[in-house]
Amino acid sequence: MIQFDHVTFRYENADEPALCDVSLRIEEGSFVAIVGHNGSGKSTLAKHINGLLLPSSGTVTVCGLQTNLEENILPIRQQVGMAFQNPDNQLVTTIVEEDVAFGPENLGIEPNEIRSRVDEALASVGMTNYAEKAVHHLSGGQKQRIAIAGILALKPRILVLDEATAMLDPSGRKELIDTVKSLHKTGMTVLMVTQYMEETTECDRIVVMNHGKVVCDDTPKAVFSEVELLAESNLVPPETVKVRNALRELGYSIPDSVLNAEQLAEAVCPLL
Amino acid sequence: MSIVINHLTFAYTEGGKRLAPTLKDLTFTIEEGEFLGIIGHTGSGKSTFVQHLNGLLPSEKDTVLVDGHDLSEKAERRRARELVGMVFQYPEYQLFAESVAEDIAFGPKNMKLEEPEIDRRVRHAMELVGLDYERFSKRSPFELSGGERRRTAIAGVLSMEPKYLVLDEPMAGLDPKGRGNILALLEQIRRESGCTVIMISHSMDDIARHATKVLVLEKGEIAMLDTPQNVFSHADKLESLGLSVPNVTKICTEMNKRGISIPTTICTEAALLDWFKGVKHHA
Repeated sequence: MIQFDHVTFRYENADEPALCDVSLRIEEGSFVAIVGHNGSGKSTLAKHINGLLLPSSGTVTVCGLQTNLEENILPIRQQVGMAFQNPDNQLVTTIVEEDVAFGPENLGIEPNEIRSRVDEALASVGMTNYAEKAVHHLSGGQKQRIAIAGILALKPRILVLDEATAMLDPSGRKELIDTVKSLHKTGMTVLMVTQYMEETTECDRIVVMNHGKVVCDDTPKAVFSEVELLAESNLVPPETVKVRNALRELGYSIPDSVLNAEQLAEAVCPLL
Repeated sequence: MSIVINHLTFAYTEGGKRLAPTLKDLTFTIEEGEFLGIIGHTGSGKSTFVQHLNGLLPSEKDTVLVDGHDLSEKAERRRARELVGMVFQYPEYQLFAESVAEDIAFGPKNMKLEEPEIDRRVRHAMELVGLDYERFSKRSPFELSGGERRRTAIAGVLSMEPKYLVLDEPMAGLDPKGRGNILALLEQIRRESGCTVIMISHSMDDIARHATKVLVLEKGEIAMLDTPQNVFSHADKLESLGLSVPNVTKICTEMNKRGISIPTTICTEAALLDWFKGVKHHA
């Protein structure tokens, strides 16, 4: 569904490439987290998926279409919805439902269809009651959910979230992650760039970036057992994994598959 | 000295009409030397509240007093602004000067300090946030990475050497290491200058580890005001407010469900490991 072949990308005037010979394959229907420290290249990678950035060398292919061909960009962007960190840069109108309808209207979709898409999208981000509210009265977290509703209204096959939860409160974040998980269950391919390791434990795969390279690409269980690799990449494992590792040092034998509080309690209680 | 909040109520206005109040009759005191963590659902009034602490939003007579300065009066407000440093969300968007050093010097210059004192403060602030003076002072803020820009913006507030430092989600958007750096910086400032820290955060783990007191806001009212241990032991209440508990608290809750009696006031990794060590010791 998404394929990176030896992609190198250099920003203008940059000394080092932001992406360095990245090859990656993402299957349809997968749920992939991309993690790495600030400046590791993870957002640059995400922006290649809908052709916002084009490789300096190598190719990116999305749904069979190469991003470096001008005529492919529009069809690719109809398949790839992208949400960014700062919602203030993503909203275009003054009323919530108008904002969500903005994309479908531009595609010339029938008004009845737009109405149902807007209602459905607002429901899936938990903002139905805000449909007629003014955008500028919403908090940062609420704006972000509207931005995501605007993407869902376009019915993309691939959803790319570039640190979209960074500004949300715990319930907003949980709601968004739950929304993303349910979208994934209906078949959506999801790529999630995030700084929050807790959000990645239920993904199929975690891609770890460092200095523009993919340094690890594996299941959460495997990635979070690579203590040294995480430290070298300036990352810290989820809190529960930190506790798990500290308890091991106290002599408790806890398997690598333990990634959340429930699993940890399940593993450690019989040992007490 | 302290910040006294006395029956503070605030409502935004729209088109001359007063909207429903965002803050309702808040009364409490922020003591000097505290690390006050503020948590609350989006829209609970957190940001509105902290904007009252240096008079960015208007308050009525005797409702907000910073070291005795009543923020409803203009001259007093000016004095209070030198005491209360404010770091907004995404403060790096507010950088404007041509060089890092000039940006950080802006506050002290406005305070009409002497050149040598300004220079000392700029150097000290840069040292605190971990930006090398020789390497960064002459560079344009716009050439820096996101994390460096964030630290420049924070240095711009620290250079005013505030007695009270207010931060609205200072770690948002930073990577785990960047977040750790900011938290370590806050601890260092507290140790060195006894600065009072007031921080809004969505990270319950960070609040549990660093705050000495936690204020929980809900619909503009005080839902809880207590130690992190006591606040986070009320998991059900926090969840009903759209909040969550630290990961360690979740672990304790799950252990209790499985018949292991462990206090739910344990909310940090250090406290949890101490409990386990105690168990080992008695075994």
